[in-house]
Parts: sequence; C-alpha cells; structure tokens
Amino acid sequence: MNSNKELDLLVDIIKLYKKYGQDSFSSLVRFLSEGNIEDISTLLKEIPSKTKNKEKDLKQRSSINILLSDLENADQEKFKIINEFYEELIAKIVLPTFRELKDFALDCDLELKTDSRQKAISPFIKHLIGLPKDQLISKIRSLNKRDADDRSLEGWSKIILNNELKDKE
Amino acid sequence: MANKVSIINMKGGVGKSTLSVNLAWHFAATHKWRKRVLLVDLDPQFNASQYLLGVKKYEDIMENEIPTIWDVFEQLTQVPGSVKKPLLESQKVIYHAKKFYKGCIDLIPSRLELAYSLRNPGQKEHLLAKLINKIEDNYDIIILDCAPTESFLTTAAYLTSDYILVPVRPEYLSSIGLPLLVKSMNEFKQFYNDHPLELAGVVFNATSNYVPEESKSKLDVKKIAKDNGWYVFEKEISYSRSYPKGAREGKPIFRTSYARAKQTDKFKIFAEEFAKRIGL
Repeated sequence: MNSNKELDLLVDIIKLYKKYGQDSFSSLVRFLSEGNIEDISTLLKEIPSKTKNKEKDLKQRSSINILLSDLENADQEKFKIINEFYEELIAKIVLPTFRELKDFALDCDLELKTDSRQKAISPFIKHLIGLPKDQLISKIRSLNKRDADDRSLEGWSKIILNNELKDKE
Repeated sequence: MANKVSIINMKGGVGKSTLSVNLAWHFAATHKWRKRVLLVDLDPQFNASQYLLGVKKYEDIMENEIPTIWDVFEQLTQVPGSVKKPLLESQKVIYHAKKFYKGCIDLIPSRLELAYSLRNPGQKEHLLAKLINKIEDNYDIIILDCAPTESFLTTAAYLTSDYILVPVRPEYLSSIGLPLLVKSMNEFKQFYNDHPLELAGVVFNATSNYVPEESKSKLDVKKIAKDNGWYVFEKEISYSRSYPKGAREGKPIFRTSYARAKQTDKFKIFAEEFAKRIGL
C-alpha cells in the first residue's frame, strides 16, 4: 500500500463489498478483468444521466463525512453509534421508507421539511449528532425493539388459551 | 388536572379501541401536541392493550404479574381466611407504553379476567376514580376505552370522566346503540347528579358515503342527538383499511405504511375538533 488514498480506496471497496455481497463483487471482478473496453466505454457513457444525482449524494455524504470525522475525533463511542446507524440508513436496512424516517425523526424532535428520503438523511444525521449520547442510544434502541414486535394471531391465541388452561388447573 | 374522556358506545365494533389508541397517539406524538397521555383499557377484551403493546410486552406483563385494571377493581376483594392484601399503589398499575420526544402514552392494561369482576361488582365502581384522582396531575389527557355492555365498568368510567365521546357507525344496527347509551347516562345522572359529566359529542366513525343507508342512519342519529341536546362532531372519520392495518402493525393511521394522506388528514382534523371541544 503506497498511500493513504489507496488505503481509503480499500476501505471504501470493503464497505461496498459488504453492501453488495460477494456474488456481485465476483461478477464485477470477472467483468473488469475480461477488459472489454467497448462495454466499459458504453457503461461510462450511461453514467452522466445518473451523475447529477450522484453528485448531489456525494456532496451530501461529504458534508456528513466531515461532521462524522469531527465527531470521531471528539467522541469515539458516539461516532461509532451514529456511523453504524448512518450506514444502515444509506443501505435502507433501517427506516427504509420516507414515512418511517420522518416519523422517527419526529420522535427525535426533528420535523423534516424535505421532499424525499434521500434529502432527509443529511439534516437527520446532523440532528442526531447534536443529541446527548444517552438520548441517542435510547432512541436507536427503541427503533430496534420495534422491529422485534410480535403481533400475530398465533401469539395472542397462546396468551388467551394458556389462560384458559391455567383456569382449568 | 387532566382532561378525562371515556370513549363509549353500548354497541360493539364501532371502533372505540381503534379510536382510543389513535387519539392517544395523536396527542402524544404529533409535533403540535406532545401531551402526556394515559390510556385506560376498561374492556375485558383488552383490544387497546393488544393494539398498543403487542404480544411480547403483554406477555411480560402477565408473566411478571404486573398489575392491570383487574387488580384495581379487585384490590379490596379478599379470600376468607387469607392475609389481607395491601392496597394497590397507583404507580404500580401504570405501564409506560410509548415514549416520544416530550409526549408519552402510559397504559393501564386490561386482561380477560376483568370479566370475572362483572360477576361480583359490589362497591367497586369508585375504585378507578380514586386511583385516577391520585395520578391525574401527571397527565394532560386521560382516555378510557370502555367495554360495550352496561355494567359497573360503565359506572366506573362515568365516575372517572369529565367527558364522554361516542363513536357511531352510520349503519342501522350500530345506531341502535345510541338510545341504550342515552338510557345508561340518564340512569347514572339520576344516581350521581353531583358528578359533572358532559357529552363531548357523537362522532361518525368508519363512514364510507354509502348513500342512502348511511344518510338514513346519520339522520336518525342526528335526530336523537338533537332530542337530547347532544353535540354531533362536524368532522367524520371515514373508513380506511389503514386502521386495521395500523392495529396489526402497532401504529396509528398516520404512521401506517401506505395510508393515504386524505384519510390521515381526516382523522387529524377530527382530533383537532375534539381537542377544541374538550378544551385541551
């Protein structure tokens, strides 16, 4: 490894590997190593139409990255929590819809005024960075608990019918 | 002092529990309100508890023998020969169901065994009002989700409340529940004429603009309301599949996935009219 840039690139590649999975990665490695210049050129020409949005995403991410970098220097523990949450947010592992994101933001006392999920992420993360650590932990924990809720008829039947059995005993 | 409202109708299936939970959530969680809300589940069918808690949390309550509304009414009941139970401490029966930024929803949960209390109702109707009296300063609004049949639980709800909200489905059999409620309230007022209980109003729930049946039912209900000097809310709550979906997801309609803005807005507009009516 010759430079920090290469190290950063490696870290980004590892993150992307985690996001897209081994199969996609292996397939892409094969495609690139087969080195069909025309295919790659065609692909590159298609990119500009998506680039504008990507540029905006990159700008947003770079401003958040700066904030996260500052946070990392100031508070490692808080940085770890928010950074992990941010990555899961980007990957839509948590709060995959705009509505869910807006509702959760409201529970964190932030009324989001953007018109898309993508645009909402930056102000939301900035807001989370500003929260006290214990409140931040409690909020994120509450989000995880929500996902684990059982609301099935089977579950309720078990409670109700177990009660019946206890009464008979 | 909290505004205390019973949501009641002698007819089952009109949406009392759904309305109770959605109103509680609206006043606790929305940016404008952020109130401290206590929801009292007064129904042995414990639908409000199911809606708000889900299976796991409810199981915890049962397994850890956390007191419920049943324990409130049974705290003076003693098995002959056994040691006298201490009186129930009011805070022990409060379950912290939902926490929002500044608002919250606390719950006094119910359970099936509450139906047993109906077999021995003697002298129990005051117990809930006594308990609420001790804790009401901790809340901005207290909502009681009532059982549909007339019993000492109805009297307990009346004795605890300042207001009554009556959801009515505009259909023939549902609207017949209204004269039953009129009878119930009149009997209560005869016996407890010093208790200030006001009817906040009648609200049409689960409307679908199915003319002419709904129109007929609405006219019938409005006539009875007028004869008794009852207020009928201008805003109606229209039927939406997002209500039962919300109950399944454990969310109010305005947080249910894919609920239409038109439906959620209708609910919110009603909630605002209701808040104004009770001076919240």
